[in-house]
Amino acid sequence: MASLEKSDALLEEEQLLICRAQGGDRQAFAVLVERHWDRLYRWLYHLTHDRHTAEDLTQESLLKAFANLARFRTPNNFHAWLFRIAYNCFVNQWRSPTRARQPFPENLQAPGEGPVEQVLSREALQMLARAVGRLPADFRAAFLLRVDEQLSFQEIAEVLGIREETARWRFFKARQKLMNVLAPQLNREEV
Amino acid sequence: MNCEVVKRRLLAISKSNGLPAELRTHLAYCGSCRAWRRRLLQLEQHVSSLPVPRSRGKSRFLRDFLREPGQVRKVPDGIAAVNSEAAAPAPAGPPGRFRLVLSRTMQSRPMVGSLAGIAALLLIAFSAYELRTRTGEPQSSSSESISEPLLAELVERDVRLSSADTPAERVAILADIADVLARDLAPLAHADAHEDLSTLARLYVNVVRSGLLHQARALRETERLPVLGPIADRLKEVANTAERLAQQSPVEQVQPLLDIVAVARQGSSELRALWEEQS
Repeated sequence: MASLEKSDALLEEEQLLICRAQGGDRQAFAVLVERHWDRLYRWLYHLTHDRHTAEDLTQESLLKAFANLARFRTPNNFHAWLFRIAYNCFVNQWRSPTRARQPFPENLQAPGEGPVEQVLSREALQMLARAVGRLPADFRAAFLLRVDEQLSFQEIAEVLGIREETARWRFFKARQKLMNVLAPQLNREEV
Repeated sequence: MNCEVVKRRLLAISKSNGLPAELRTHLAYCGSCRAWRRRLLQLEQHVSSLPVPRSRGKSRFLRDFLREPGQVRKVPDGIAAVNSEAAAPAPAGPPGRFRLVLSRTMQSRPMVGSLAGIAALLLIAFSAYELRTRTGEPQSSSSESISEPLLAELVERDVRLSSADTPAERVAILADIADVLARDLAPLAHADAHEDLSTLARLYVNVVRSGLLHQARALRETERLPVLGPIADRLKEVANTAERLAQQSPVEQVQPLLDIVAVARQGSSELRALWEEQS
């Protein structure tokens, strides 16, 4: 209950920030950037596999959001709206003939030895990262929006510009592919 | 209900609670499906801990965003730009190496039709950058002399580009931008400035490929003849210069120069083909 109230308060505060930013208040928009940058960057990194490209796209998305803030009408869905802009930026970059294809980075370090890493071995985490990284980009985008960003299928559909049924199907296929690849490894981990 | 059907249905349900009764019944007696479902949930729990390199861009972005008083504005035909005030050199800090602050156009809708190329073009705003001061390195005179005039010229053209109405105007301004960028190749090729040269090369490639060539194709046939020939010649000159520099420069400077050679050659021959098509 407490966390629900907190999240309501955050949402209300965010709506206030959006209103102020719509009036040209850059400080207010900076607070929104501070809140959303990491999530946006993380998702874009998973899509692009390149830190510089992900940072560039994050920056571009936020600037576009600022430029088009006057058109934004549903303040409780700012997060999804940002992701929608980011996805358009990603698609434009993806279609660009000058895009350098990024292989999945093999040498990424897992983040520390927290409780999560103790549950799943470093090797399994790397396998998971590789398997997610090798999903087709459309499936990966939908899967991560659902699992990492906790968006509803309707929001995912809006972000990706597809029908809700297609969003569900992509999520299903992504899960299926991951389980096909990873279930044997997870079996071994359990033994 | 057999196990394969159960698994497919479990894949389609993303919440851990709220399983339909028939699935709950199956899971109650089928250990294999229970284990399979546990793995599925386990897998997804770990997605949030997948490694991602730390982003270093946020604080820089915020600093630049808050420092620039101007507004990002959208111009009528889908091209958006920063205004001259926003794109002006940052007042604080000594002049130094330049850095891309706001890259790409900020178009508000997916790129379509003849605007696709121009919308993909970088709109350029450089700011003075105190990197060397921060890292304690002395500033080289070459970097000082390069950054500020280049910045001023790019900003001036950037503003003109944002208000250009016709492909012919855009072609002229974009060719001008390409020239301004190419003029700084030699000092950067010989300096210890790999990052700056790479940035310059990236800009040049985008200006030519996504901007100039695209707009040139949109020219009316009667406009092509007087405009494209001289620009094709200038691009060819840049290709030759960059190639010569690549032969003389340190090895780490070669790739950005070769990128410029390739795009300038491609641009020159495409423009010439368009021009000859007309003549």
